[in-house]
Amino acid sequence: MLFSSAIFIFLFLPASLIGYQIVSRFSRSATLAWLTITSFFFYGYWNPSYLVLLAASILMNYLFAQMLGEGKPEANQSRWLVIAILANLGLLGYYKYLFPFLIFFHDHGVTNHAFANVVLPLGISFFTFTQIAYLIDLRQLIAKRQGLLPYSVFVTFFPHLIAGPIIHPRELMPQLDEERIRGLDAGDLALGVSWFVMGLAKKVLIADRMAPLSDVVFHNPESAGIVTAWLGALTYSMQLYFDFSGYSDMALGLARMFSIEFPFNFNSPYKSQSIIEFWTRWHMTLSRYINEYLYTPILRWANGRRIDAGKKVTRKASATLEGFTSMVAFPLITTMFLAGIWHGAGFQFVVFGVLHGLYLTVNHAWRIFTPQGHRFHRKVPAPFMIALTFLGFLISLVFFRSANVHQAVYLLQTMCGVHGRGPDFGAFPYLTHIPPTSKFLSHFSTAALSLLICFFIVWALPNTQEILGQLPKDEVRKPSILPNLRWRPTATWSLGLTFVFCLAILLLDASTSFLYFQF
Amino acid sequence: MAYAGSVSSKRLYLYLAPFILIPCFFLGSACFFLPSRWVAVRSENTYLINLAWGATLHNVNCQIVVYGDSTAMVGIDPALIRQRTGLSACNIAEYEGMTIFNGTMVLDRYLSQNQRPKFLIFLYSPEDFDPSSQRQVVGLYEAMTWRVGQPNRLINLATLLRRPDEFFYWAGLGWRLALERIGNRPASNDILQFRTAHQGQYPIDAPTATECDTMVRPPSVPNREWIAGLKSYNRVGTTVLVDSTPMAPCDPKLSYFQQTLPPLIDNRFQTIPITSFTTEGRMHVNATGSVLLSNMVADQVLQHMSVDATGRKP
Repeated sequence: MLFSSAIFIFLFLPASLIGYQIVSRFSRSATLAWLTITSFFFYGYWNPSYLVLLAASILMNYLFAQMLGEGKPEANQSRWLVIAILANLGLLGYYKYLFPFLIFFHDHGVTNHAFANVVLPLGISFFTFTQIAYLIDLRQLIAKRQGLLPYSVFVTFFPHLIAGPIIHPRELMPQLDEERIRGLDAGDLALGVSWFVMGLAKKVLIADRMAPLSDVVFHNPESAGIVTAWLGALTYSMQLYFDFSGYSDMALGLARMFSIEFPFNFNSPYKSQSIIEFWTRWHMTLSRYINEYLYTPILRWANGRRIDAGKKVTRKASATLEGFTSMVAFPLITTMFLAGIWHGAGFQFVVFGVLHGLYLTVNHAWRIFTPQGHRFHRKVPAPFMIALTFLGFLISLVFFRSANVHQAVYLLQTMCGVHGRGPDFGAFPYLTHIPPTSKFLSHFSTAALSLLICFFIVWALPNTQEILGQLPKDEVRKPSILPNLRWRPTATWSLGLTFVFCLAILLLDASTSFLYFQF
Repeated sequence: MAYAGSVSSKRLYLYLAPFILIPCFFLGSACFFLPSRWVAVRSENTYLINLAWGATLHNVNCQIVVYGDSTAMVGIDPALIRQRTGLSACNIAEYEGMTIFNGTMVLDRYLSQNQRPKFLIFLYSPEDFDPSSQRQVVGLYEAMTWRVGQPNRLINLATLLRRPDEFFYWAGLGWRLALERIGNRPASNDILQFRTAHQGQYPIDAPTATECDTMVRPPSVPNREWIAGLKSYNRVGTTVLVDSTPMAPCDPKLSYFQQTLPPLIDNRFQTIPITSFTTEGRMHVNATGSVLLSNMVADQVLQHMSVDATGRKP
């Protein structure tokens, strides 16, 4: 079920909220059971057969968890943890990578047997990662072992089940205590509904409206001239931004309706002044996950090897070429390579990951070799750094969105003018495929104007959590032209957001799946 | 807790009220507003304006009635059939969405308001013998609009809500289209009388097809129970024929339907040249194809009439 589908908005969500309010009067167990049942229904509505997979995964990890944590024999814990992680990765590998690889081998003549692809279970990456994190935290005594019911809610709670945020047990478990889940709170409901509507508007009114142009350009890169290629790539950058930002807002808003707070997942990444900062603002919980469970172990391993070889692992050592290579470049590129593969079994995702590994390496080189206060820093204005960061990300997005590396390279060449100026935007033959709900994308002037509006929203306005007053007090707000724009439960905000809600309802039939659902 | 303590609960509930009430009103009013004639005549949708044309006919008493999907609606020329057979003919076929959503309600309404015909011909595209095969693409919006506007609105609404996702999308799409066209002038008389002027045929002006690339048919398995239901319209004095519209020789699904359909249908499974079709994607015939298709039906009727006269099987 999609957050932006009518059946979710008009039936599932009201029913789950009303049921939650009713059962919360009985007991904590009843409330947790209700949340589990509704979340399973939410998941099963897409494809009931995969409910078995989800349930089996939860049961398997619940049983593994019984072997880990406080009071369990220390000697066996690491062995069980490795087995548990391998089992989870095996499941993920089977559904996400095995058949694409077999098909790849078949296409290249390595095998004769033709394989049919299996349907990727929705959200398998996210519920697998969530559970691996739980097991590791148990092993490290950061998390406490949970009963089956709270554990099921932790894994399946529908606002984060399909595409994150990826949540730590320490973030969610305390919120499932008796004191916290005592029915609906009007304040949280008002905030959650407003947050959800803002996210819905981003998804339905902006991302889905921008999508058709990027779709036709990326499906037919060979027909695009230089202007069309740029517009297609920029449109995709905005589509992805508003799609994922909208999804994150909806997820956080939905959780808040149940008085549960999720960690932020998206925080104006296009305002980032460096690629390092970018990854602290884009898919923040995935970045955190990758940092904690991938980058840090790789870094530790690399540092361990240096120590074994009698080399230093100090900050000063990382400022040498050899130290930088082994302590900064290697862990970063390896991590981002693996993060790229996570996005899909295609070489274009590998390029996307490695490209970001290189970006981060260059960025760290700049940070390390030109320390704070260096004369270079004062000479580079912030808008330039923001634009450079965005451009770097845009180039990587061309790989991210393209069907394969060849098409991505072709489109990038077109954007650089390697294939000449090419046909004008109006001569792009696939503009006729743009549906009436995005007809403004068929003309250069209105397409360019819509992109300018998107850039204005992204760069000049405060983000959702800033408007809703949800940023932590110590968090520095990015500059915007409306720094005092602040949501309040007033008639103006109510009617304004209801109007936006109605506009979104008018376009629900033309809404599509979230881009991150495919991962 | 965001505002607990600083804002009263009453104010918060007042804040939330429009989020619930306005969309509810929005969806509820769709059931009354969208099926109205006022919306239809401003819709720029000739089909919607002439929706369920057969159900509007009283005492026309056609001797040959053709009901089916859009391939019949676009392709059957009643004037040609009348010329060939000497029997009055009506084409009351609708887009397949009407059959998917409302079954044969339009036909039933026609039969209740007119004398039974001598020949009742059901004409469907091969894949539409499985009425669920293309639920999303064939005039479902119009079919739902018609159904909501029928008497016993609450019962119809309950039927619609069996698939709530479709109902919500119908309401949203309908309001969007209505608001986009609210300033339009009512359609001209030519458009209002479009199907009447063509005795029910709904010819489509689209380029002629030259290859089968545009012939994309969804997977479907002919539904024997559905076909048996159509044949149950057989009564004394009415011959029921369940026919399939022809395919192009290059159609990728031709061999499949050549194997599965002939035992189930009453006409000979035929092919007609690709140049008899249009490129607009739904295997509709053009003017040339319409002549072939109408003659095919006329030949079939003439054969049955000769049987009646001689007692021999056609």
